[in-house]
Amino acid sequence: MSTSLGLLAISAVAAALVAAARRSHAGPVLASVLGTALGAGLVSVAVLSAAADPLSRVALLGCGVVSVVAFAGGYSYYQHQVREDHYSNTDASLVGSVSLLFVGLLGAAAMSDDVLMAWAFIEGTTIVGAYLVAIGRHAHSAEAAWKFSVLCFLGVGTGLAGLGILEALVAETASTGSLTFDSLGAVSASLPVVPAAAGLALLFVGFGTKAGVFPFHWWLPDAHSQTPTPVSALMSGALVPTALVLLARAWLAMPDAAGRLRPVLIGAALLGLLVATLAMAGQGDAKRLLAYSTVEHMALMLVAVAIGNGLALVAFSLHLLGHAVAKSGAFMGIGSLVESFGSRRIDRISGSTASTPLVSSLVIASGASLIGFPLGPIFVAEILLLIAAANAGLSWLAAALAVLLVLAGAAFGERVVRIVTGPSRAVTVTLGRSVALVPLAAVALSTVVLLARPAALSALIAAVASLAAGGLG
Amino acid sequence: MSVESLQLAGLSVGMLAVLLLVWDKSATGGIGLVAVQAAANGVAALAHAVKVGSLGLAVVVIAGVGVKALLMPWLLRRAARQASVPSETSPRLHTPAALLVAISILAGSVLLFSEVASGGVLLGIALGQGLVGVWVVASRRGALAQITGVVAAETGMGVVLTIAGTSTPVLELLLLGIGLGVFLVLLGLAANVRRYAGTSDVGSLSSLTEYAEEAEA
Repeated sequence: MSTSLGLLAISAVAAALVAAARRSHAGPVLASVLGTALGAGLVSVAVLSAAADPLSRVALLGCGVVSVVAFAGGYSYYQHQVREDHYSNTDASLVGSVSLLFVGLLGAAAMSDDVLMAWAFIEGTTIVGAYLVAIGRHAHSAEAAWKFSVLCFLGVGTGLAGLGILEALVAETASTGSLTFDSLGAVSASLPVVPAAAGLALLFVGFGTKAGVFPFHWWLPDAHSQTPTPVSALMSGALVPTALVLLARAWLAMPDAAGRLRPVLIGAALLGLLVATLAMAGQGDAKRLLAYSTVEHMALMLVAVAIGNGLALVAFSLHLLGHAVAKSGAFMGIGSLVESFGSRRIDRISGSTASTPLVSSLVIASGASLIGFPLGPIFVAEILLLIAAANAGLSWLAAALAVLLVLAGAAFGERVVRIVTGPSRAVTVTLGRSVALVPLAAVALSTVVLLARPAALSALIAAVASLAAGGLG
Repeated sequence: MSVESLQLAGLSVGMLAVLLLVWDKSATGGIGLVAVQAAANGVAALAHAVKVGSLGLAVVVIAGVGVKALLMPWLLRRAARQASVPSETSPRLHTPAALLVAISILAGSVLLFSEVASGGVLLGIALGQGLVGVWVVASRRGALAQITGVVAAETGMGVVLTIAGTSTPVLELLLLGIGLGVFLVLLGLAANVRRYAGTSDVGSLSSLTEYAEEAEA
């Protein structure tokens, strides 16, 4: 808990500093510098906290990398917005300030052992996230912010009821203080299965809503299409997976109750994959395309959680990290095109290769990683997931996943190819190079790190695999 | 009257209030009902605080009743006056059908948690209130009506945690702070929708499509 509160306090101080500098030109610069430093700090904490829960460390690592990409690349983005009179200097600073708080809350949630505090931090991201979605100040951003807030408040609020049920059950069994993931795991075998499964189901609704899991994913496309690009990267690459990690931790702590809910999770994941694939096929809005891609990837990670064996958890972790890097890169790349061409419509931003080679390279690299191009982390994760499903005796699931993966990859890939190819058109790129350079370096580095397998990563992956207790196979 | 009876009475009144919330379509009637629900649930929570002998918990519960039964309704009425919100004549679902669903949710919730050794019925009623609050949001079109649904849901789900028996004054205070934050954010967003979309009927907001940017321009 001290790590969580420490991270939150640091981010709050950083947010206050940026807010204080909002009227000067230093505000967005300060936000960029402090956000990048905060992201690097999260990565360091994730690497150094060997005693912390391995899944928490994976989530924190993802948050850290995405923060570095979003804040380092975000400076050019916000500068552009101020120059084009889309935002005032104060707006750009305040978005940076609130984003810092947003990242702090995510880091705190990822590292929290106390289930209720983790819930509170996630609810906090909705409260501050509403401002980030509404910042556009027009009818569509107002609508998106309303839908995001109401759906997330209700979903996460339902999770609170699940926590209440679990608290009551644990209190019947053992006299514990606050409900932690560890204390839940310690008594889970003696909990009555049906009420415990009901409590876990409500937690699934709570964390699943923030994780963009089907059928609670509605807010994602609307919010992503309206938020500033760096915020979309933070939401897709950091918020959504962190919520899924919290669900995974509760799931792994309660193997008996989880066993009852396994068909529900697998069903939700398969339907989510299908819905995302259908929405991506022929999608006209570039940012909504990326949002539905997030729904697809969360569905795959949900399958890994549901299977819950060692291999599946390794697949989950690799997928989370690969997705964090690739999706934040894709958002920064496509967001740059959207700003340069002045449109989110794919048919209006297509043919960008000649005018924007660097940004197009980023879109191609991150898009390839997202569809599971060989040697990327997501490719390895997807192969491991298929093997994990087959090992668990769920060959039908492995087959269904393979088919859906090919379809989703084709739907997403066709759209990305359309963005970077097509009739060439001249456009003046008004965003600085840093908006593409940092994410491009991160995408390249993720493949290098995967191939080099440094000792710290291997140890973390081994620790994640050891968490499998009640999984299949 | 035993503590359990007092809790049962309080939660039952709260349950009745949320059922009436499903039924009531007037502009401000629902506001009074969430105040009644908060006060009635507050009695149940206060009884729990007395049972466990926690003065701190009792103080936070009373503060919570003040916020949810007085401050929030006052702010909601003020917002309703400013926006001149009309009665909801065409909710998303026919009222008797909505009520039937709400009663089913409550009954299912109580049945599900009767397995919990102690306090199962109380937990079931409290959870049912929360879920009916969610249903209110799903079945209503007005921004303020949906906010009353969110408040009802939070009040119901929050009291689940209190009567579950492991809550502390600090946690209750945290939940109260979050509840107030959620409420103020929603109130601000409702004003935002009215200002930029020109309506309080959030059920009619469906312009976010893949080509929404054309309308933005």
